[in-house]
Amino acid sequence: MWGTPLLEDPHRLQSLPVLRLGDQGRSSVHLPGLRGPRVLTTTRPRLLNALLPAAGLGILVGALARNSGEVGWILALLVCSAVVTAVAQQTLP
Amino acid sequence: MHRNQAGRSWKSKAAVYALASGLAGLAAGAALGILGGALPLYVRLAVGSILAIAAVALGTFELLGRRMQPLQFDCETPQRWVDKGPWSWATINGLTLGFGATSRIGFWLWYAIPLGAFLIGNPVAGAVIYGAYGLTRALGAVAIILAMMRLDEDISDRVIDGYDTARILAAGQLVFLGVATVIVVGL
Repeated sequence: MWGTPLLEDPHRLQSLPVLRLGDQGRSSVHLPGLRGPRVLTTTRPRLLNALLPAAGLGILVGALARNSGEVGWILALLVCSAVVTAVAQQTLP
Repeated sequence: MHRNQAGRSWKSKAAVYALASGLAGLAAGAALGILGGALPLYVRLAVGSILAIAAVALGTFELLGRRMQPLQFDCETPQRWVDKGPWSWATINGLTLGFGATSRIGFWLWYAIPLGAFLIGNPVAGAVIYGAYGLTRALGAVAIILAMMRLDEDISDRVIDGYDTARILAAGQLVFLGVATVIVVGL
């Protein structure tokens, strides 16, 4: 099964789940011996980090739009969403 | 687009493609705006509030790593359209992609476009929203081709590799739009 030394075959290295370091970022480290919170979560890199700024910006713009009482804000938000969608769709296979 | 960039007149075909895509968006948005205008404002506000909450929930799930495929026709535009000739292909493909609903959507954020154009209840505003989508979608493809010509290499794989980043961007925008809309029309 292992004809060549493992470290000389990068493709085979990738087939080992434990070495797929890119997949390890979201996993949790379980600490069963500790009381209280038994799971030490690692950071969820960009995904979670995007949630708070998006929500914060939404609150800010929403409050400004509500105070101004103009429909133009909603229109601008929707146009912005349309442009973001179209740009994101360029990455579709 | 890639199949038609060969000849000297690729710029004309790209222009036709972009124009068709923009026009499809403008027409779809105007039609949705007219339809939406038939509904009373309080109904549109109520529906908009519910959809805004749904947008926040969907965007949050996505950003927390729980992927949910959007409801869509999971296909590309038919390859056989290429046989119709470059001008017809540019027109039909532009119209189809500018409308967007009949091919792969990929992101929940897309639904904000037709629903927004409908709920805003004004044909001009609807056309602006959907037209911006159609035009940007077409110009994005043109920009990729120009970049490929300038760099003299195929960057399509690199663009597709950006899907994860695009997913985060789209989900973040969905949360942003949803939260702002809830505050403006829902509270």
